[in-house]
Amino acid sequence: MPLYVAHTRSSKFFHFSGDLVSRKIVAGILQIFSPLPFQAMDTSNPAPFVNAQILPNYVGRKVRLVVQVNRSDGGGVTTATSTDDHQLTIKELPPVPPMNYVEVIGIAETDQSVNAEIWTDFGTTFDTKSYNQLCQLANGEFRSLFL
Amino acid sequence: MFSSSQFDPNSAFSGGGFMSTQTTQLNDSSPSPAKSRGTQGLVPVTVKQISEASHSGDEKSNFIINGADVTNVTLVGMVFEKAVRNTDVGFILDDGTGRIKCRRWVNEPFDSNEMEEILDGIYVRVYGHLKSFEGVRQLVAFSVRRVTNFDEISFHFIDCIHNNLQSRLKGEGITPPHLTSSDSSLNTPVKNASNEYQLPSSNPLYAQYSMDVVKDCDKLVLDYLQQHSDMSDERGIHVDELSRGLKLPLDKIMLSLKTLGDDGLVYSTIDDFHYKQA
Repeated sequence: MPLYVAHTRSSKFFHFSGDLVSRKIVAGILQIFSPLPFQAMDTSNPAPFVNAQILPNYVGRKVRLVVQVNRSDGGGVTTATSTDDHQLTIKELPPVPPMNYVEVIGIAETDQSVNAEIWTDFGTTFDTKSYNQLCQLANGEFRSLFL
Repeated sequence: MFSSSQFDPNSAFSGGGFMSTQTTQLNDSSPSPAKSRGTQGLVPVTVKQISEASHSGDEKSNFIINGADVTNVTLVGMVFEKAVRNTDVGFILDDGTGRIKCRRWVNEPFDSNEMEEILDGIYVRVYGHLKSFEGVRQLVAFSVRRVTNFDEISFHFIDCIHNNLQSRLKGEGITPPHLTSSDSSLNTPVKNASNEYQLPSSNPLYAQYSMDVVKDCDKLVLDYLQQHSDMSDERGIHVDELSRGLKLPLDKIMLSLKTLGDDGLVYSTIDDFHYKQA
């Protein structure tokens, strides 16, 4: 059974506020001190859909991509296959069962590597063809809907 | 402009000067294009589209996305900053194109049970009502469900693209008879993937967007009715003709007609053996 919860490195931050009351207080404090209203819509920091072919366009910026994990070396470096069938390096990804599909949201470090910030295990089956076509449409003809 | 609208037969009977000016401006034969294109049911959108939707700022007025009035929308994204309060649960939905504040009012135990499952960092499908409150656009959710088949994420964004493309063609005045039934390059992979979907059947509004999910036989029947509709009269097409024309057994045809009928895509006419496309 794959784990469906996305993990973030900042999740430790939330642990101390496990109980509802303190979490509310934290939210309240954030609300008071944040310069922008907490509710404002924000489209300033998108995470565009990419495959290996599109990745080079976003070096240094946030991206999202689905990869199939080949192997993890234990030190947080994972080799994985993109939806357009290229080898990519994903850094800071915890061990994921080989062959599983993982969605990674993170910063494109080079045109072949991504530093993971948020990850979601998509399990063992995923329609990579549709996803790959989506990447192309979302960066091409229908870019205005996404970016 | 005023004088030209005076001679416009369309607006001559449509009431006051304001109405006729509107007609002239939009230079369309229909009195109000936004309306004639219909207030759509439940529209799949991205946060980016919501942020760019035109809105007068008046709390009661509608948003306009893809040239049509939009009130109810569906989004897929990740939950952040969930906050449980006495009367509602608030959270931020991040769909990768942007972030929007969502609020789910909690009236019944059912609402709170559904929201208990929703945690920071998980993917959810949200159905909700688009609102502007004190100038901030937000979503009043009436359903928030966890995404369990991750192909639903790809599906949702392809659905957004499909919806945008469809209304774009409508805007240009092109009726796309083959678009709804299929643009093979766009639809085929989705169709394969969506066999595993559990589309929320409890939500009838969604049915119109699952048109491209109809099974092959259903599609053939629908296409046949579509193609032969103008030649035939009000009686529609007899099931035997469908069976002959499509070279499919009658029981399969009947089964498809039932499914299509349930979805409101076809209806029977003079008796249970004649059908027309809705």
